[in-house]
Amino acid sequence: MNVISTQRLCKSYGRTEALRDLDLEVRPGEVYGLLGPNGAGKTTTLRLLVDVIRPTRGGIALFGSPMSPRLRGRIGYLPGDLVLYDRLTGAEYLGFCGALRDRPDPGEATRLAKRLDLDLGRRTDELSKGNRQKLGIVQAFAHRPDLAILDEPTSGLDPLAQREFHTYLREYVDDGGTVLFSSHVLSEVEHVADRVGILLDGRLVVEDAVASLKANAVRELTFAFAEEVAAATFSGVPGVREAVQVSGTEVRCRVSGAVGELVRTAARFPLVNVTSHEPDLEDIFVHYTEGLSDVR
Amino acid sequence: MSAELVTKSLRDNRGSTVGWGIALVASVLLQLAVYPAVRDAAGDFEKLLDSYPEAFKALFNVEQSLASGVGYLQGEVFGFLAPLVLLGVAIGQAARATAGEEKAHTMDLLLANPISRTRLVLDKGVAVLGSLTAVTVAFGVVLLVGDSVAGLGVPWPHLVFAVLASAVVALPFGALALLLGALTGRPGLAVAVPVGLGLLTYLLDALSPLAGGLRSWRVLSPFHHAAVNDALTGDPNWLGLAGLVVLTACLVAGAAAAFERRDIRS
Repeated sequence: MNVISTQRLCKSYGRTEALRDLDLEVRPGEVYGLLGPNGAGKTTTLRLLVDVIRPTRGGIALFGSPMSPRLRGRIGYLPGDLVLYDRLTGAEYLGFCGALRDRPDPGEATRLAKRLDLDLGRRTDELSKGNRQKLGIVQAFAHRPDLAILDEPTSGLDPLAQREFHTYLREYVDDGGTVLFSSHVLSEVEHVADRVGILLDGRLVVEDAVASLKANAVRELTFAFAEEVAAATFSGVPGVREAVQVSGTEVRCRVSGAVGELVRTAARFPLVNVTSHEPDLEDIFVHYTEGLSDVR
Repeated sequence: MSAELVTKSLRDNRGSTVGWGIALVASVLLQLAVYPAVRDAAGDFEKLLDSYPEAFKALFNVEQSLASGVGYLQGEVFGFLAPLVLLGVAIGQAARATAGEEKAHTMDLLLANPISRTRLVLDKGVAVLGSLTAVTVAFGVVLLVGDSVAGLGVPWPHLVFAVLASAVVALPFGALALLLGALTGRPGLAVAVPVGLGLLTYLLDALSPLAGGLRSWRVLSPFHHAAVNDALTGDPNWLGLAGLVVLTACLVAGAAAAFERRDIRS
């Protein structure tokens, strides 16, 4: 049974379709990264899942059931637009949530706050943006939820805290937790997520394991030869999308999928050097964005 | 009911509760302090009041002679001051109950806790009722003490009836504010409409004895059914008060139902 499962989930605001036919499956024990530019529907998706907004059409099941107050007890949520009660200290805030959740033990919260170097004795309105974000993260995990739904969790965190949080996330998943988080920071998703879904204009345009996304991504190979070789030589090679003459003896090719055929072709010439540029998610992201605008 | 949520809401509203409470208590004390002087000069006052138009007197609830304790309290305390403050507490706090959290963007996180939306609305409503009760009790105590000190001569059960009726009339207005806040997430609107309706129905009740055309519309005014003046003479309209409580319950149920179905503002 999947932890999160949506069927043709749609959300419209008037005539604007914020989310269209989303079929999202998040499996137990995985970190799923929802990626997309601003306004793509990431926050809408997460708010639908935690039931603060209601779908226009389609269904949501969490742990196989529709959302209920009891089920909320198993979920930790960090909203993208995080606002905390400003008259409370961090500890008081966590105490309030703990009482509502019937989980008064502050152990986990205290441990995580310490790891993130967050002072729980200070009032939330005295905290910096980064520290407020830390408190938001702490409250999401304080009750040891089975599922964490996090909207841009590292927004505002310094690199050190980001790293600590990523480590914590791994430990959390290793302990049996499941994570769905959104981000527009590609390196973060690449670093933390097991699977990635890319949302564009309210549609899930691609969904795959990070590794296979990268394998299928367009990568760049630059060949340096001992003599002049025409770029046109590579134009017809399977997988090659573009071949550019950098100089007389240098050709840069953009290739998707396996590079074997291209390398074999290049090897027929006196090859001096090959440099390969690993695709990161940015390339993949741009690739799909371009694809989408081609369709329009 | 979640004691934690009710307690927190009461604490959040503490400023408003204490502020309104002090304003009411201080004003009542002031009115009671000048009562002996008014009574002694009653003859002159009566002459002055006789020259006022009936509409003016009706507006400020001057029905009986100001020289009598009942007349004085009707005109100076229950006529305008008490409804103003008690409606202020109820409407102000109920309007912010859910809509205030939505406007402040704290509702997303509050709803992440394992409580149903209905329970959230009800708990917030209970907190408003708690604040209203606190102000009402303070008001009642000051009146009871002041009554004996200033020698108004109004029997204490009558005072209790009138204070109770004044509080009950605030309930449906508070519940309407809760409903509008739950329905729209906009605290401004949730204040403005009940305040407007409060003024309108107050005037409707106050002026209807003068204008025959208004008389049949009087049943629309909660102030008519609360009948604070009658309560102060020892004849409270229990049926009317019960009706207001039922109306309040319906509006609160509507608020819970509306909030269950809504998208929380982002």
